[in-house]
Amino acid sequence: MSRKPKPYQGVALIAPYTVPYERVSERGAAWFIGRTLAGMLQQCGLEKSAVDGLAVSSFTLPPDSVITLTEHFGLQPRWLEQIPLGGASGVVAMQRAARAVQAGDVEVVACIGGDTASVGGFTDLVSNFSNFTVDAAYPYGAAGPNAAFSLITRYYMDNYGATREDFGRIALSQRYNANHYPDALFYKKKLDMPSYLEAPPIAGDVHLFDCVMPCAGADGFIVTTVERARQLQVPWVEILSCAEQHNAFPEDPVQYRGGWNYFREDLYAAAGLGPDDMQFLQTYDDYPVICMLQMEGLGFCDQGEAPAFVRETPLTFDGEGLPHNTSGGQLSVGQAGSAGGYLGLVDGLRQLTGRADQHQVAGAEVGLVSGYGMVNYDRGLCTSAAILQRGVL
Amino acid sequence: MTGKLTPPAARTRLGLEMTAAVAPNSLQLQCCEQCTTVQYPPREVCRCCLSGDLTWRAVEPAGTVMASSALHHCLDPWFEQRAPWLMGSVKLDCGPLVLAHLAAEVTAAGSPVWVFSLKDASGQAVLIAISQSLALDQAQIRAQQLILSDLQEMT
Repeated sequence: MSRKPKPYQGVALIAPYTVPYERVSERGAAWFIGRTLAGMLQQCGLEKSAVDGLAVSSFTLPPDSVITLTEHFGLQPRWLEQIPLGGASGVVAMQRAARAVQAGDVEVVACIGGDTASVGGFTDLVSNFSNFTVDAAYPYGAAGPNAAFSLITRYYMDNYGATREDFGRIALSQRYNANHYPDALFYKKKLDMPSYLEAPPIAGDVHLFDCVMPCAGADGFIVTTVERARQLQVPWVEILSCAEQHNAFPEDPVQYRGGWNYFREDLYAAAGLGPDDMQFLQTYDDYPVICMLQMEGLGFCDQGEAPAFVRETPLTFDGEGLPHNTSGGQLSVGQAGSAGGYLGLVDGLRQLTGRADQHQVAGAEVGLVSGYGMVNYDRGLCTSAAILQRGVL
Repeated sequence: MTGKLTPPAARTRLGLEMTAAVAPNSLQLQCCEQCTTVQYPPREVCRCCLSGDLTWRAVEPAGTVMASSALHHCLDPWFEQRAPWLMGSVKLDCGPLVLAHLAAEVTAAGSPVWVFSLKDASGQAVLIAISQSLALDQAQIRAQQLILSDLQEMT
């Protein structure tokens, strides 16, 4: 890459907020997005009229969109963005908003990912997800992501010797984290290895506890200036570096790496840090194998070494290894549609602002958040990542 | 009021072109007239040179199974009734990676297969992978038999 991105100086991330997830809901997506906006504003003491930018991600919002939400919510923004990048959306919304704030185009941007979940809504979403899905996946029984990820999982197991126990270590540690996060759908449900291994198969080597639970909910945060965060006297987080990369390695016959491998070196160089400096890692976790691709792609271990890495490294928030998906991730909190692309970032912001309560990573100052999303055919197309640091007064 | 359950029949306009291109005993895929790229799933323009000059042609049907999966739960009722359902990804020698129905004997990664485009009981085109241990003409017969038997033998 010949051009290097400028630093994100002067940009503050504040007010991480989650509307508690619900298994199903009759409410519209705008309820979850709107209640998130209200919660964020209340947390940081901003008036609604101060919001001059809005970025949203939502699968169930159509036929409404970010512009119709302005009327719905009574906002008069001068900057709008809608990010349809699934699990990469949170970091991408943050990055776009940060640059606009830095350039002075806007001062207070609310970034929200949220969806509702009606009965039968998930089937409607996946059966008509994209043109490639309709023509080339659905006719083979591959509705929804399970089939595609079962092929990615099988290929990874064949080539790198991963076992179901290895995937189970990721699922179990996340469940432990969720048992310390009261808003998780699985807050009160424990998971042990025998239960994980004996769970019914869903698709190939993907069994029940490798899959996320579709649900309703929303996550959000506000991007503004450090100056404004100081005025509000709220803790903030700064962006040391971030990157996105899409449709990486299109010639790989099965996905075993992603855009992280493209931008990893530049990401760490811009932050002046390395993987060993990260006090937590939030990965996009629809299916544990994808967590492994992110651990490898982001340099926490070599390609193909993630099974050994998760055997040797405690992944719980208090395990003193690499705290991973500290709120429980989508596997144990739930997948509230587009909120899944914000959940890891929002919990990362809670960690770095000391608001994670029961699941707080002790002394968290810096961490990495990764995104991945949008299976159009046989693989996720979007990747993103950011290195974040607690703001210093 | 419900008719006979069939495999999923919904296709885009380009998917319908694939059905229209089905010809006996062959694999018909979208080819670029400008740069000769063979591509799948079907697109409006060439993924390589962006030409809009695309034609459906018989291509070399040889490929290799990359990964397979038995689907134990499917959101589509036709598959759910027949679960577990075998499908997988096949890297074609002519370029594209395709998802396809797999005959039971080719679930191992690395299995050499022939892939054919045929109409299933919904009347729409699907791809089926048959072992290369059968000669091409025998594989063609088996693929046609599997389709005519409503793909029942495949699981």
